[in-house]
Amino acid sequence: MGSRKRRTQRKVAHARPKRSWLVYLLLLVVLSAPFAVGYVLWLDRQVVAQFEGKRWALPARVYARPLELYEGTRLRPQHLVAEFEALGYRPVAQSSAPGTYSRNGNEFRVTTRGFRFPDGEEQARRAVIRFEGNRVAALSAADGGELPILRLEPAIIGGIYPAHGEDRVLVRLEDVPPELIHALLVVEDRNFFQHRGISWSGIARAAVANVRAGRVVQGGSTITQQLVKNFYLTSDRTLRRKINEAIMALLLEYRYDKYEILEAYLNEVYLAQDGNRSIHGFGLAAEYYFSQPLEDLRLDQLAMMAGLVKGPSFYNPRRHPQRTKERRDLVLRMLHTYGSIDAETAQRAIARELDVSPAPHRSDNRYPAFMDLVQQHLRRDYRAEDLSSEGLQIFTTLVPHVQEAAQRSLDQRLQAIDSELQGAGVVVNVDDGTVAALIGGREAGYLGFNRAMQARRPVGSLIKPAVYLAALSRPDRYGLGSLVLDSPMEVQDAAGRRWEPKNYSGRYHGQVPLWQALANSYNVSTVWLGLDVGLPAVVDALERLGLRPPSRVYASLLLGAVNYTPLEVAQMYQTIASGGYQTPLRAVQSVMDAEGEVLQSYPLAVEQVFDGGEVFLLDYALRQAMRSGTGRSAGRHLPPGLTVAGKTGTTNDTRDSWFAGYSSDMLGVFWLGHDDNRSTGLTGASGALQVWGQTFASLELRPLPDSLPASVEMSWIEPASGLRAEEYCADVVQLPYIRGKMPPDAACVEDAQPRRGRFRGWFQ
Amino acid sequence: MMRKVSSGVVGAVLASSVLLSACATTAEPGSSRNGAANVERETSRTTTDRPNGDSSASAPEETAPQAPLRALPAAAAELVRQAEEASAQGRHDEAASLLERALRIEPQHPVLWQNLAVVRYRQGDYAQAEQLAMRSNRLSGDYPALQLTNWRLIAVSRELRGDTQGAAAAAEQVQQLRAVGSR
Repeated sequence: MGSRKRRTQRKVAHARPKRSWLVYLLLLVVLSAPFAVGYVLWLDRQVVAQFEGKRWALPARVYARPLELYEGTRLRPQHLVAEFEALGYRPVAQSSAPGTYSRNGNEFRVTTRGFRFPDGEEQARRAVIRFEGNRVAALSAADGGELPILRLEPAIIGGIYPAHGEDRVLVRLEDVPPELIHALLVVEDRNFFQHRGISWSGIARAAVANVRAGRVVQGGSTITQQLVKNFYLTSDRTLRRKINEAIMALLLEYRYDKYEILEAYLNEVYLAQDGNRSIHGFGLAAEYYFSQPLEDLRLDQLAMMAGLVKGPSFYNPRRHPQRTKERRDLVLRMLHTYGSIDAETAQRAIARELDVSPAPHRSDNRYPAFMDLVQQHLRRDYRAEDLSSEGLQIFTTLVPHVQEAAQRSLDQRLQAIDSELQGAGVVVNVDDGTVAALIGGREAGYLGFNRAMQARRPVGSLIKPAVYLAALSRPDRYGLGSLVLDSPMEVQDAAGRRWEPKNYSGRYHGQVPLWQALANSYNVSTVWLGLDVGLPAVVDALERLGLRPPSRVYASLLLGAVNYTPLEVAQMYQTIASGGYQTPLRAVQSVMDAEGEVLQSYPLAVEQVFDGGEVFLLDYALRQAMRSGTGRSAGRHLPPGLTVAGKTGTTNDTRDSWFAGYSSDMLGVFWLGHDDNRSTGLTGASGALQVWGQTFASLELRPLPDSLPASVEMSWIEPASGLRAEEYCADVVQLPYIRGKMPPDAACVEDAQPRRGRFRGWFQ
Repeated sequence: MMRKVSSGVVGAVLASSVLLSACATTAEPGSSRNGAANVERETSRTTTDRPNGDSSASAPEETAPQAPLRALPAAAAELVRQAEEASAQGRHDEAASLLERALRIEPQHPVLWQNLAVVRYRQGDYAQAEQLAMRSNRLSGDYPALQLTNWRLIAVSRELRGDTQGAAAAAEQVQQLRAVGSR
């Protein structure tokens, strides 16, 4: 599985010398210098190396999880619109062309483009999607036929580029609309199919134009020469460079045929600058300017791009729309003049606006922190150069609207508190361990320090569930109603230092039921319980939950004096949220090569590490924490009826503010703190919990179920004694217990046994 | 000898999982003669295609009554149908991926977990087959027939991994469920 078992079969056009010696001889005469042979040979090697190497260096494309629509999809209509936008779908009055949608109130009509997924081809479809509130109420084919499920194309969330930051969307010659090729030939190189690399008539024409204008207005370069020019990274205009280019153009023409050169040109030509990213090739330019695949573009759009070649910054359609339109219209008229299109078609195209998508479609590196996780994952199985050159397709688990919601919540909260405060977060799907979102810090000024993966911080009370689970997985000894001590105590660590755990409030509570100690996050009783069950048992629980325990264990571990990253904490809580099944978190589902062959898939794997019933008991206490304990302030964010469970964490001097919480389907872990470790003044509840609450409030989630696992039943418990009671006893509470593992009966049960019925009536 | 017994159990496992889950079967790993276990979905649990009518496979508990399963939503059912097709053609990774999608739609449905367990079993990943069947079991509280299938899958997976003790424990569960079912 983990081997680099592949090499893509590239479509390399093997260099085949045609008449080359003759050429060399000819050039030799022309240059009439003996050393020229060596020089030309050197240039020849350059040409071949550049053409073979650069032409096909294709970065990996990284995709988000595709949106699946079906009756019952929990989704807000605006998230569907955002998804359409990310895919470059255009809103139209009537959706019939691929990549368009129309909306009428709660009803969307969409025409998808179709996509080849690792698990099969998704056909292009026309569909009707009807919402009721934040839920898809009906899905059908536009012709009224049945359509149980519709999968959109996955949004591109980035690429994995070689160091110099170039991107490509490779197009094959046969997939390029012929209008584009006609337009390019008409405006750039009318004799392309006749000349041998350089065009004397072109040079003559350019010379005439330049003399007339009194300056250089035309280059007279053929497409072949332009391609050669693109092989260089600099653009100086020395005579020597010109001569080199001419020789290399001739060499290129002798080595490769016209179609190969044209295809390389289409993928190589420089068409825009997007920040520090250069846009090369028409495939990427189509995305950059129109947010659509090249095949979907109309004549006027293709003509505009053909016109850009002359000067992408001079004719920048976003900055100089009028200038660009004039250029485009000239191209269209020339197409008519040279007979490619009729007058009417030209006029119709000229009548259109430029129609460039408003903002540059920044597909790359919108989610740099998540991309780190993807790259880390892929580095296990792939070499860096394969990732940046083989045109791999990486299918990730990112859910764009979840990522956006988490980032927005974090940014807003951080901004409101302190301009230097930082944070991180991870959101994962509970059942399959797929990472839906990963936030490495504030959105602005992300410099590569990915706190979700790299910031190892003390976790404080987030560790406590491991302590309580260690106890609850010994149901003969502990249940939720068991009494734990919460009174002054002293502990000695291995170094012999004395240490006195304190509660956050500074008060002691005497004896408290186990569930309350966790729900209220009492420190003293947690230490008592951890020592009672034994540190090795706690370490074992920690390990089974998916964390690596510290090499040396002291009692302070019980209060979270141990460092983990938010991602590691997410793994721990995933095990709890899924009821004791550890599922390795994953950000990549599969990798497909450029030809559509699946190279690797990373499937769901589960391992039961705790009994479901015992985890349910822990889950119950964590629900109580959200209902009435340390997490109760989340209630003001969340919709009523959304049952959740979670745990706050605060470390000494409020240096770290943590929260981990989950619904039935999603788990989120957030951390707030300062990079220099100074105090934040925030508890887990006032900081991270609020970010979590805001994030979860903007998602459509499933509540935790009300049902009990088969191995668990509810029992009446007398809180003061922790013993089993009956409903008729005074001041009793109901708590879940493992079947057959009830505590002994309380006094009231024994007394009342013979007269149960009557008692019930009297005392209620 | 051990192997032979287990392949009979496998036959039963696969056959019954077909019925319960609408997921077609192919040959289990290492056996081709059991190929296309063409069990019709609607029929009672006939076991015609089982090799050699092995004793553990032809026991009458197969006719035990079961509570009606809650239906899969149409989208998940469609994915299961596609998974069935893919698995029948030996494209197990694809089948697993389709089932994972179905699970995202309906994560609490025991049949989906069981189907995934069967696919892993067919791929020879007995560790995951066991774990996934356990997970299905957790959700199969009201469906003894599903539990029975899961325990059989667990028993045979354990056996194939050399966990004889574990296999015996699982077989014990199978016996108990049969006893309950025949009552």
